[in-house]
Amino acid sequence: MKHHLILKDLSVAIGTMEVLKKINLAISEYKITAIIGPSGCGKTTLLRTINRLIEEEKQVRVSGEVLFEGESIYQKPLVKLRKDIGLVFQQPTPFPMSIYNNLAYALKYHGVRDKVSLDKTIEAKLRLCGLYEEVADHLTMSALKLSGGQQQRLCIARSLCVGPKILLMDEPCSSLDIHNTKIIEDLIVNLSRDYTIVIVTHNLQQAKRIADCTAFILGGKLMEMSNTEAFFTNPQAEETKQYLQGLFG
Amino acid sequence: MQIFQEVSFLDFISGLTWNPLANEPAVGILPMILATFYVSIVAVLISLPIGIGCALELAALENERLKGIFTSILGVLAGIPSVIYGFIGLLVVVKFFETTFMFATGESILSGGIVLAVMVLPYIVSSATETMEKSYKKYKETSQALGVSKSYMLRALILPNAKGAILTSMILAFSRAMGETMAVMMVIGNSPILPKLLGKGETIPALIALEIGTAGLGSLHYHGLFTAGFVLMMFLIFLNALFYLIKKNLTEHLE
Repeated sequence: MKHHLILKDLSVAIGTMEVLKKINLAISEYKITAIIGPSGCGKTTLLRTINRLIEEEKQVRVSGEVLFEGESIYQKPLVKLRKDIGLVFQQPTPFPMSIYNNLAYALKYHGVRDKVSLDKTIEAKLRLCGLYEEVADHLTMSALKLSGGQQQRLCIARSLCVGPKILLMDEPCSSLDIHNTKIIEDLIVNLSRDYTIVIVTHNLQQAKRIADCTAFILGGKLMEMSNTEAFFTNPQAEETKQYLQGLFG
Repeated sequence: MQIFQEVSFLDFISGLTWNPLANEPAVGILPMILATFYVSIVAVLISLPIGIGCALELAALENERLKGIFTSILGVLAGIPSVIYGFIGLLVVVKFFETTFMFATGESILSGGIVLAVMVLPYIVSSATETMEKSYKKYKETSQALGVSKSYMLRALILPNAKGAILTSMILAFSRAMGETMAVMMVIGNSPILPKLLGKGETIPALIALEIGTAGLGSLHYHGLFTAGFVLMMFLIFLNALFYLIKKNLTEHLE
């Protein structure tokens, strides 16, 4: 099995606070890797480090290596890297424009200009996210009018439009109800055939349901990482056992 | 409105001559109405692109200290008395036209427009920046995560999203430009003739300010000036209503 993304001794400090401490992690291709841990343990920071969004903040120091397809992420041009590694946020943030333009926004920037291929990509990604039937007749409608679950699927479709290889998801279901969560979880499982997915979640059941591998982070340190079944039935580290029993977080 | 016992409303706003003290008095304010619009339009045309550019840049400025400095400079600009603007206009803009282009006189509609443009700039910038800054902060990360550059984001996302705010700032600037008296009066030449871009003109506020002191109480002249002020106000109300409707239409489908 190929490793799509490898983190070597990755440490991140923001100001004087060390958020991540020497994380070593290998993420396999076309698998869903769930990252769990209590709030504030650095899960989100980890994702933001991988697509270098973390650098937009002040006083950030990153040490260690992140290898994407065997190459350091710092050697790739930023635009290319973020095109290859998409990020879906916790809150659905559709742009205040039509559904169609939401999807065309980044595509146009990355050089897709002619109407035919724009239409084709947009339709394909909407279908992939199960949104096409729902919005096909309203592509010019403002995206802000969609429901929360639809907005989040639109955001996923938007991330997919630019053709990423890895999709990072930061608690994509935390602001949605059970029904929409189910739809998105099914979608994620579906997507894992073509994309490598890293999903941060604080919902243990969710990790259990959809992830192939699960990693547990506590206080900025990687405690344990194994395939999901083994992780939940036979945790190795003492902290993991306690966390799974609900002792902290 | 005693004046309308002597001249009809239509004659008043479409008459070409303003000479209320002649033996056969004529009170037509069409040249002034046109000059008022002309100067204001020139001013908004000049300051709008500059203002929106400044607003975009300011909204996307990461350096908080620099942003503070620029914002306070704008505040100071807005606080300078209009007489001072008029002086600067006379010394810089009018002089410039006279020396560089050898005009007989640099006092013209264009000079008035340029001076006014500087005056209304802070209004445009500050009202547009607010909205742009909000949406910039909100969508910054999402946009960055798509690998899109800052300038593309400003052009394709922030600017279209600020349509409403830009229009509001335009109304504000336009109303202010139309009502501005002192600075315009000092650089525009003040002759009640049909305005040309490089020729003299006289705006309604300038007309009132210049002549109200010498108009006899209760005379035709006196009433003419007051009615001119009334006409100006009607125009402003009408324009504001119009802009409001346009803005409502523009932003409605995005709410």
